[in-house]
Amino acid sequence: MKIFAQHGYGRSTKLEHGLSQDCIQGVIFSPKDESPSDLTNLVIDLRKQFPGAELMIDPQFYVSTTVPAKDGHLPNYPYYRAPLTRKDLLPARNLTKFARQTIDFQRALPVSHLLSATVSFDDFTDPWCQTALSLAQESLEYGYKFPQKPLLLSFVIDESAFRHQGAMKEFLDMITLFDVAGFYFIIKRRDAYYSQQIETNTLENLLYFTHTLGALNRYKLVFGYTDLLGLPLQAAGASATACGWFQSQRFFYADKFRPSTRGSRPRPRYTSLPLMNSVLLVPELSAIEHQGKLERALSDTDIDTNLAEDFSNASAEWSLNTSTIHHWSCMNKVIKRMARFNEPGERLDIVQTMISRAGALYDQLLESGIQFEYRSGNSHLAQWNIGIENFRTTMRL
Amino acid sequence: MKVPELSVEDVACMFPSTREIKDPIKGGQKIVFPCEVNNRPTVIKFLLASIGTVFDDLAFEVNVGEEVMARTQREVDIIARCRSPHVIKLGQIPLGSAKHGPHELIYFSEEYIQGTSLKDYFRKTKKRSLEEVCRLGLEITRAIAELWRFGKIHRDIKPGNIMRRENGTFVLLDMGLAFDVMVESLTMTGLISGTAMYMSPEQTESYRKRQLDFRSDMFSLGIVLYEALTGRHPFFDPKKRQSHCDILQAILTENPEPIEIHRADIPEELVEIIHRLLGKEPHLRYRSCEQLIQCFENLLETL
Repeated sequence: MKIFAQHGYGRSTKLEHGLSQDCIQGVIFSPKDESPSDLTNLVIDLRKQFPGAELMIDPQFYVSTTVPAKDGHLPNYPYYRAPLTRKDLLPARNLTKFARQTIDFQRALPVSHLLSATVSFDDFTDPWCQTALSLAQESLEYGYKFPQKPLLLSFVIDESAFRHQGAMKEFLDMITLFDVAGFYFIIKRRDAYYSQQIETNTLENLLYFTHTLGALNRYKLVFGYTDLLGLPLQAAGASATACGWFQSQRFFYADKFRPSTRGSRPRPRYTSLPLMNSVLLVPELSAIEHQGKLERALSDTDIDTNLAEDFSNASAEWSLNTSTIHHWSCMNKVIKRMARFNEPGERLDIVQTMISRAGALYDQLLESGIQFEYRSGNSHLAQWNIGIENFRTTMRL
Repeated sequence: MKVPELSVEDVACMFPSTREIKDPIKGGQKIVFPCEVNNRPTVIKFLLASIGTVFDDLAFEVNVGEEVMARTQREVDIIARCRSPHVIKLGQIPLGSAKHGPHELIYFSEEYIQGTSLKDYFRKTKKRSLEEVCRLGLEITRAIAELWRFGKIHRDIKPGNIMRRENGTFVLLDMGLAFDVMVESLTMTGLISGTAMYMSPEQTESYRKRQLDFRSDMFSLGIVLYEALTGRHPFFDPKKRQSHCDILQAILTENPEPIEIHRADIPEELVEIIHRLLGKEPHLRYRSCEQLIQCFENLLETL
């Protein structure tokens, strides 16, 4: 059970800090945000400094089907071809070429795992899903040649696909026949705005999916762009989940790689484990402090000591770097607690206890007049709890 | 489905090199003659070169032509390449066809195994040791793995198709030599192949056109192991007078009673293995035979 950094724009020294403080155990790099030479140097440097870290590159081949695309440095990478249509991805020779070139680029670098090329799809019965499976098959066949670098097959799947359990199960039947080290999944969210909300049914099936692959079939399972939702996923069987510093690196949405006019500096947020959510530092956390209930909402990491001692000063200096390390530390803290238990049921008990306590705390805070914006509210707690409970009933955990 | 009507004399006439031909055993779609070929204990199996349904009340026949013979030959070639001691070996009389009266027959031979079928063994012994059941699981999984090496599955794993040699090891019989050949024709008619009581859920859902893989055999093995441990079938209760449909429905939707209710000394690891094997979906079972073999080996070390 591990937390990885989801690398992206504006990294400064966050990766080094996270790895040196052991609040992350690996990094998933984003080629879109670094030139090939910078990315190469970054991977080599981090490998030298942190020989035990799990370093992998998300090749982001899936961006190639986005038109128009905000693909940054990606066109400078040898394996990236854009724009690609479905027609380009039909001939087997093209798939072979894309799969091999994507692996070849990573092979030259000191990464721990190779990640395959993929295309995103919205449904398990979608023709794009077949293309993604074909790319996985091609990658698998080529990956056998490099046993020293285990391969993770990548899939980018829209969350709505998980509403259809039958199709999801057939997909699972297919991919559990792959003789591969594991999978790298990105769940494409429907909501373009960061929030912890997820449909109950989708979460239930996502947990089933994770448990089947990770806990039962023993694949290494890495989920990219995953925020607090990574906690129940890891409890169910995921090996690692990755999140970054900006909200856009903590969830993946359909238009992530489309040109956008958005881009205003986000308001500082604070990850509150007792609330199982990320809240605005001002006015939400400050209002809690004003009510004299700050300690109950703090996450009890090293960084929280400063907030507890001198809130106004510490919150004024709440930088993106601090917020990032704090967020990773929070995730890491829960992961470490869960790692003490072998059984998914015991780990889910921890998550459900946290959900239940968060619900009670929200009630108290709301009663005392504190208001939360849509994204900081408590509506995800019931969704999570029902989703987990349904999953546990199905799997008799 | 009809069983060919053949006598010992007919076989002696067809294969003059055979000695000590014993009375035939009729089973399923075949008639089997134990005998000796070049001083080696052998069985010769005959079946009609036409197929009927698995259900007696739905009588029809599908002609099996040259294509079927060629396909059967391919199957024979696969069995000939199998190296596992837990997969039945072919005998010296190669696959062939013969005319017998108005009927076209397909025949082939296999080694004769000195021992007892698991079905009889279950009847004779009330309780099997945990060690023996684990070995049964291990050895039949090795047989499944060997078949899957050639992309083949058995489709009909059941106590009647497993032999316990006199030395206590287990061998999987009836590699579906002819049965596999029928599958395509049968599924074209919408019928299902296999023995209902030991079918995997996906085998019963032929309408789904989902391709079967070795995990289907794992499910059948799970039923055999449940039975070996408890003396009960997980989806069939003789007191309830269940029909074929009831059994298939139970296989598709019902969870068997927890095995530990029926036998208290089963270790948790074995309970888990049986539970996994009886998973309703292939992805809930083991993703490779090697994983399952490892589980059995680990367990055997602790017993």
